[in-house]
Amino acid sequence: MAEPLIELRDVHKAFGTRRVLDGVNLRIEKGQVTTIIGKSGVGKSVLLKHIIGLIRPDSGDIFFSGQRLRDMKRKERKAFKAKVSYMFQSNALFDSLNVFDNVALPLKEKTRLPKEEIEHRVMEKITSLELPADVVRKYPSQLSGGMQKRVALARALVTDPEIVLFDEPTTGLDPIRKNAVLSMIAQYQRKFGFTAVLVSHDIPDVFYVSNRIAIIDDGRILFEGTPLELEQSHEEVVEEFLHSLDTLKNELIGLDTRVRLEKRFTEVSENPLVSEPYTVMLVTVEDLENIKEEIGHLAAQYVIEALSQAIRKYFGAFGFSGRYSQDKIVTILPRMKVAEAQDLSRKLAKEIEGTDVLHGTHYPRICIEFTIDVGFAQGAPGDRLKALVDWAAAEQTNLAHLVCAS
Amino acid sequence: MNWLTRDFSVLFWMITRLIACARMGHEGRKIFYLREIAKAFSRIGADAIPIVSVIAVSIGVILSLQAALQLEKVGAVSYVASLVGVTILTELGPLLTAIIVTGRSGASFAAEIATMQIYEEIDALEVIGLDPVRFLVWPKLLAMVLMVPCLTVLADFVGIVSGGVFSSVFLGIDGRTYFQESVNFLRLRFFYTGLIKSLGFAVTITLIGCWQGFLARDGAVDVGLRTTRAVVQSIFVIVLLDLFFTAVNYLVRPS
Repeated sequence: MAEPLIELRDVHKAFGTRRVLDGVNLRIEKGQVTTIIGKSGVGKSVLLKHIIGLIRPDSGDIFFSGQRLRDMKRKERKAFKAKVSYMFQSNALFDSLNVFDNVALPLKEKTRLPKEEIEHRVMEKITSLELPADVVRKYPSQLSGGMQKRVALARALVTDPEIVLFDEPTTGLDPIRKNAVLSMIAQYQRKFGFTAVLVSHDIPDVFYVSNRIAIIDDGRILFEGTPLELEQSHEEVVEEFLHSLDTLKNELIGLDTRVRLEKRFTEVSENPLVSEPYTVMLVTVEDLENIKEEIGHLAAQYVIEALSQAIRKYFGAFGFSGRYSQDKIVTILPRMKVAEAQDLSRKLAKEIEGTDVLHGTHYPRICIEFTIDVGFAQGAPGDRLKALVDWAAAEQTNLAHLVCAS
Repeated sequence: MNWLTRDFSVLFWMITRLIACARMGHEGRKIFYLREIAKAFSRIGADAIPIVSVIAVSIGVILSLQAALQLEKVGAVSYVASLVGVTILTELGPLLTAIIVTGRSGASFAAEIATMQIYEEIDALEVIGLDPVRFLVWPKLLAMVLMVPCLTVLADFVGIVSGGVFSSVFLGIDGRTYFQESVNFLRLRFFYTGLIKSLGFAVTITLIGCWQGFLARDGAVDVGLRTTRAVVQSIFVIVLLDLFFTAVNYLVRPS
């Protein structure tokens, strides 16, 4: 097995009599997004602060590229810290500094760049995070919570770090902005290739942006693996943990999570009493990445939200829907034939065409092209959801199309 | 005892980092954050001038009145000037200035740093690579060490002048006599004693205010608690220091 970029071995930490970490073992691979999930107060943030050295373990070791952190000399530790950035749960913006100075501070302290270059880099990050240019002169207290989050994100990314630690980056945001921030993190991670460690409560939204998931509970890592491995895991502790999430719905779109969708699908397809055929409908937003790139993450979330609402409106009474992946929504329609579903989808198309999202209200003066596709598959008892979704994907046709926002 | 060890280890950490700052400055490395220093100078010094002046006027007048009440019984009203001068220069000038600065700046240091601690801004400074002591405490200490003696000189001057004006207008002491008495009796030593005291007070207020700020842990309640402790502890230590300085001054007085 390749050497992980960061590794925690048997880390223990207690505050007074309260044991927070009780033998944590965790591997963080280079260039991946690792998300640590768990209930409130189980030590997720404490774990993150151990990685950057803000908290020292009572016992156990933390390794960076195979080198033990506590064995590092002062210069090596400084070099390590220069590669790591941290986005705090509370943003931790300095009230006495304006936005520009807040974002520029790491560059001023960690680099010897000329003033003009610092200004260029700060403005570049401000713009790419969809913050208005005039925000630079404002103070943190003059900004909304969402804007403060983006400023904090800009400050975390301005030095182009190799490792970024995100401590609940979406706390306090509304569902649309939550997803926009998560999607921004995922996009930046792909673009710059940094290693991201994310602590989050936003289950299941974080599953779509993570390469690996670690569940922490009772001071220990209960599970470590890919989101798919997590969903397929039969370990008792994992199932118990997932069961507690089972009733959760995707906060943004009010649809089921993928795990819950699959469970409900199994109830339909494996129920011996259900002998009638059923339909699986797959709706995909093509070019979602392009929307994020060209217009912004918020606009991409508006598209998903509008689409979910329309699907719920037309198909909610006949079945149930779930977010299958970032750009895919799957609807299971028991007792409905494909032809009926296709009829209904034409009404759905009209509804979507009439929304603000496809009329460009959210992104005036930007010319962009994207399509929403739909595909159907007729299911029979005993079929597997993945096979039906693949089938529907192969059959997809155009449902709605935006050529250019006015 | 655990909390005591923890609290004093924070104080020790702060002092060692301050010493490191001084050493870095000696080596010619960057230790000044000009904007922070300018801000501290303005907040600690310039903004305190009105309140220090008003209190100094009141003290000058009160002292003149009390001195006149006692001294006229023995026919020594002309000594009002020397009594007011010595008391203000050696005791009340530095002491009252320090108490005002504790209430204004010491409390604000504690509240500011405590809030930053609660909102993880101190951690953020560490992550960015900025030493919190160098960025937050050092400018405050520098400004306090320069501004508290300046405010003390102001308080001394305003107190003595207001005492003189009040005595000449309301107590019938001739202004020229008051001035002459002051010149004859007051020594430069009295002035230095007050200034040395004020330097000690400045360091005390800064260290205690910032220390209490760094100790904050548990939300808004702790910010209030730490601010209160900063003020109470500062005043307590200031009075003890004053006692110490006065005792030393008494023991080493010229015969």
